[in-house]
Amino acid sequence: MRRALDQRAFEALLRLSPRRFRTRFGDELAAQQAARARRSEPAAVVRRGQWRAVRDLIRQLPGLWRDELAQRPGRALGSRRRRGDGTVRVLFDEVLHAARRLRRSGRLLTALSVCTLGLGVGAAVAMVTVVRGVLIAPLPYGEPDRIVRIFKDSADEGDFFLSGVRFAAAREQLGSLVQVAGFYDYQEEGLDLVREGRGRRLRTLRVSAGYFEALGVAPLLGRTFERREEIPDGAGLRDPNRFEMVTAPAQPVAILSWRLWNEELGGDPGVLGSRLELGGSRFSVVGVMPRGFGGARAPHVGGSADLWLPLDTAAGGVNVLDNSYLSVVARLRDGVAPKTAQAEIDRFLEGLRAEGRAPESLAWKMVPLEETVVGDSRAMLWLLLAAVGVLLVVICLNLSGLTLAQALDRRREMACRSAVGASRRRLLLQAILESGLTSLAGGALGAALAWLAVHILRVAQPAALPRYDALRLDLPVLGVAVAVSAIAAILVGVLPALEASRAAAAARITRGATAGERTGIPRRLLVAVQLALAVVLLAYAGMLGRHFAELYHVDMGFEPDDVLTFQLRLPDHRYAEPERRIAFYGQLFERLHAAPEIEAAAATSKLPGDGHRNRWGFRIAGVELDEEDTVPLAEIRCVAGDLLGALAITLLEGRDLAASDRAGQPPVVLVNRTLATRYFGDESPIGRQLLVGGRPARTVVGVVADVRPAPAETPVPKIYLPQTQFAGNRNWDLSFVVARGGDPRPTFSALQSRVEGVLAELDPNLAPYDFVIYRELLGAHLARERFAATLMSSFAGLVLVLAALGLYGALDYGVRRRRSELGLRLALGAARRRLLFDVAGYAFAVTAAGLAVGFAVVWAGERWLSSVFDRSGLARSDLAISGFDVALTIAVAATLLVVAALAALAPARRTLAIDPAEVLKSQ
Amino acid sequence: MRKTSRNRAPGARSAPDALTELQVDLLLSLREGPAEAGDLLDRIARWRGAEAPLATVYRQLQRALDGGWLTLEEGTSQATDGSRGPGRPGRQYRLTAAGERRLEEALGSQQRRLEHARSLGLLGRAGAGRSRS
Repeated sequence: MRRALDQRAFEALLRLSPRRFRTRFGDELAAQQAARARRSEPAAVVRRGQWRAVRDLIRQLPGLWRDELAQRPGRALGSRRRRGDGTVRVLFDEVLHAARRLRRSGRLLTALSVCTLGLGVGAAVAMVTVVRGVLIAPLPYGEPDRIVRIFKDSADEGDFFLSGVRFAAAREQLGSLVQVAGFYDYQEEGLDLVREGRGRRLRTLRVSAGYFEALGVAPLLGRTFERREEIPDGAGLRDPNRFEMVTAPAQPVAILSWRLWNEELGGDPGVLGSRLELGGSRFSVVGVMPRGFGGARAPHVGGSADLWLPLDTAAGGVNVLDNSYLSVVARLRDGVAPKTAQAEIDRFLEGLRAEGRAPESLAWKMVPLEETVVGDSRAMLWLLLAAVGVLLVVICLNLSGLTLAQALDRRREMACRSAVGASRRRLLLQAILESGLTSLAGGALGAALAWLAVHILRVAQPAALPRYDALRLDLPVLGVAVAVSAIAAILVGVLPALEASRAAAAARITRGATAGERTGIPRRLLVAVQLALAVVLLAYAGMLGRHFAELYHVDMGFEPDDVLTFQLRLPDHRYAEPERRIAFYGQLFERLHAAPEIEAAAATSKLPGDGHRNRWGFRIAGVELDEEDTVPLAEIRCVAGDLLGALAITLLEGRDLAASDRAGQPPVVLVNRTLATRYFGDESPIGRQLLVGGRPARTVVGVVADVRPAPAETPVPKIYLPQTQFAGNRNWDLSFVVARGGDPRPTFSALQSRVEGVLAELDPNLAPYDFVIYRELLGAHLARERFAATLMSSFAGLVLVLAALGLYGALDYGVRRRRSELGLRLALGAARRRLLFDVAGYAFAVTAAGLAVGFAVVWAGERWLSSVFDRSGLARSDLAISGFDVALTIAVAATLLVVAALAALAPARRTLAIDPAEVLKSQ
Repeated sequence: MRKTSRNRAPGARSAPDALTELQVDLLLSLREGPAEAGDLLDRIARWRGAEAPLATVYRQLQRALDGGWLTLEEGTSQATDGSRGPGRPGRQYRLTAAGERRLEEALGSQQRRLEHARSLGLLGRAGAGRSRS
């Protein structure tokens, strides 16, 4: 029969008793407990009795261990150790006594202390986990510290892509790099996998030979790509200088991710050599990568991919000098320092320049892969870690103040113990142990909270955090929790212990109640430091918060409110012909515009403000360039429908793209104001012709207002091309925008239903995805700013509340302690207002001290903080973070004064309520 | 009531070990004669008017054994209640001479305390309160 829960609990607890006791009485005790369960009494009465026995056993366990320690060899009855001088026994006694003290001195207070400390430790441990996972843990590649990225270092464009031609040359000539590989992550690519009549969109990444070797990851099955697979059939017939839009894989071979291999092919070990139908072509599987590779978010090496395809590196096609589109990753040869490799790259470019094959301005920059992964997040994370440190210090100071008040209340007990022989060291030990137990519990709670926070981060996958998948709460991090708790215990316990033991030593027993009351300074100091730290965090949170608000409400150049966005991909195998795609989009927009709840609808290859780049070189017809690398660059947007109408982008000059701008008609484009002013100056670009992606020349028919590429970025030159005239060479992945109209405005879910309905009418097999309200989409691009501002504000808010509680505690304690004095003064004729001023004066003095020190720290650290913000990437482009100015100073000071006034309210009321007669009677 | 060691503040000098009420009850119960655990618990319950908490009793048994006031002897059970029939292996607790002396000291001390209370005229009030006899 299954034993009752109480019996099992009893036996489990019994296992926690000392072995000697267990061996001697374990079976007998368990049998007696079981026998009592068989009593002929009502079941409820029996159960209650049984649980009472369980509670009794819990209570006896510490005593059993205490007895056991006393009985250990060398600690026999009557021995010196038995009398209480053995270190272990003393410690054990003190721990038990401390636990009892905590229990008696107020469960609410103890619980509050544990929770506060748990919050601090949890925040600290979670932040340490993030810093460790993001900044310290090695990347999941072979010898990751030897992997580098190579960028074109452009003053205008920042880190930029390399051209396929230069990549091919560098690969042959750079000896300090053992592998140099290219990959195409200029924009996301995908192919439809068709199996058994159903299609699935797969994310593909085209990579050159040596890509996997550069990352130091071997395939699980098969092999990686070879050089010969980079050359498509018939590539030898290409004109090496002629640009041609070729975006297909070089050869029909593929390497699968572990996930795809398992999901689509059931993990078949005989998959090598089998054929997959992808986008209408058949690809031969040559390899399978190990689990995790490419599955995690890895934007630094091409992003997550379902399968890898060989990159076309043959000259001609896209591989011409002025087409920079390739990302490059390389591995340093063993023993070669990064500086040496960079020097070789510089010599290589110097050689090209000497031969007249590169412009003077051409420069490449080699960056450790880790740097590109962590990038701007490093400074932000250290900043947040520092903020958590401040929070933890404030918590410790707060608890220290609380413990100090308790300790001073216990002067008489301390004095008694001191009088009967307890040394000061032992009194100190007891006080530290009490704080130690609180810290231990706080540490355990903190570890649990940190685990929860890390779990939430892993699930939420915040865009602000690179490598969130590497976050783990493991033993070393838990070690940090223990260390932080131990430090907290010392910080919380030492000052009160010193103060109380000093008071006890001074007071002894005769004047225990009044001696040693010079306690105002330490508490005042503790509270002032807390307030100063609150000022610092409030100031920094204010700066970040204001910056975030400015970014959030920045004029994007278009109207994102009332707009719904979604993605749609026309399957390659069913929409292979351009005419079919153009016809489909034509019908779609016709029907969408006919719907009453839709104001306007459009599609574009990249959404305005989403931060994605698709920069192409262009030429102005009739203008000759001196050097190939000075080709002007512009963001290219392939558009369909009424984009200007849907997003309320202002047309500054000329006309909008029209339905009549269809294939076969003279090709036209729109340009933005930045392009117009940068390349045409005061002249009007209307009627001028641009060559975008080669011929034919396209006539500029309109100039539109600038839109920001992202909330924190300044506008760049941009060209809008009608999809009807630019869709012949590829099936673009288009993002759709639908502006809601009508009165009343439909809800976004109604709008989504309407769009889905229209699409289903046209092609029931299409599946639109990623429906997002445009404003939220823009907000997502401020993830890092939001993350930093939210965390900093939370920490600042917590610190402010704690500091206020600290001030309240100090004031309240002061009023209670001085009740007799205040009552006497009232009895002697002092005005209540005068007493009130005393309390308010104390609050004001401490707050003023906190404000003064806090502002001094903020102003002293402003330059340092500005540099941190600059390096954190939080201050970007023209929207730099404003410094700490008068407005913020006033806001922070006002906040602190209001909070201080609120904290002083209750103690002030208590002061007013003192009855002098009652005080005199009690005296 | 005597202050037990449990309530003694650490750091204070130890007072001479005094028996707790339960220890006195234990020794007194065994004064009736050796007993197995079940019988011993029954005797204490009878004497106290309520079941004694098991873990507390066994902790005191351990202390008494460690102090040499009791012995624990393996033998044959004499119990006759239900499943614990006579003849099965059992263990008996037996009071030692040292235990008897300790019990007499404790009772003597209580006796002196009672006499002192009587001389102060308190016994009547004490008697009006909780009594176990």
